[in-house]
Amino acid sequence: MNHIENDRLIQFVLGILDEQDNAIISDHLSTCESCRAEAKSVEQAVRIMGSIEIPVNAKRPALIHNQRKPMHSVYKLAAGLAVGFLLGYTLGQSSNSVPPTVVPQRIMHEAIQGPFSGHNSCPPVDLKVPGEYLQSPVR
Amino acid sequence: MIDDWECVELARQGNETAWRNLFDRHFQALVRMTSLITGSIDSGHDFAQESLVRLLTRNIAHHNGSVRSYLSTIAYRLALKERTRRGKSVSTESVLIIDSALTPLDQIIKIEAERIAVQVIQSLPDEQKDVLTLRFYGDHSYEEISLIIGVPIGTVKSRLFYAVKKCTQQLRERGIVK
Repeated sequence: MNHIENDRLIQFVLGILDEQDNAIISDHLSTCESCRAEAKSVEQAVRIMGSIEIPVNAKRPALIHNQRKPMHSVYKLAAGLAVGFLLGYTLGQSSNSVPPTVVPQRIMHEAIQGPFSGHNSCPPVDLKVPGEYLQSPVR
Repeated sequence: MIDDWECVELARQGNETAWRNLFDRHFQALVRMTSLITGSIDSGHDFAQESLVRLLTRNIAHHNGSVRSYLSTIAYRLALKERTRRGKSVSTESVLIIDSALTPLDQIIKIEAERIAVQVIQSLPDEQKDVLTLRFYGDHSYEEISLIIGVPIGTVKSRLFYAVKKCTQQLRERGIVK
């Protein structure tokens, strides 16, 4: 009986033969103990080469949450405008909360020009008006 | 059990269990493959982690093929780049591990066999080593290896054949296999 070459047995074990050659070798192995032992030897070598244990430090990296989609530019613009508007409104409100010094127009006129009633004395004015006007009341 | 691709989708949504499943299923095989290609366990770990992270961060157009295949393709390319950068791989004799489930005598035999197997694989030409590791540790078909490496399928089979022939011969010479 002709034995199968070692190269053919390696190809058989690796499964890289065509169907016809594969069938021929399978038939032969079923009856030839010597070739079967040779094929087992190749299988053993392949198994060792394919099952080398390597010490693995199984330190899992932290899960990255990358699925948050980036905000669309239109939404970014809208959000920016909204924030800007709110900020402006808030600042406006806060500046309005400090009451400005308001001098009624009539009182101011009296302080400067004197009362309309024709009195010579300067009317009592307790409002803050520019001092230069108070120091030289107009008769 | 949840399918790998489902795990990928869940992990992308922040599901820690899915992420752990993916890691447990594939990390070790990726470390083995990249360690053998680069000759460095540290690089193997780095590239295995990088591959898994990229699995979640990259847009994957289709889910054809297995997740393992996708991962090992990334890992292989990273390892190849590293090997090219370094020029020459270093020894990986330190990659051996003791299986505590075995008896001491069996441990010695197993370690010896694996140490020699690592040396034999490392001694192969790069093109044969790549095909062998992609086939045995990357879960790739011959067609996939052909696409990854960019050579015809016949060349892939031929390289694997010569790699296994040389390894078998050396393992026999050293008495690891009969």
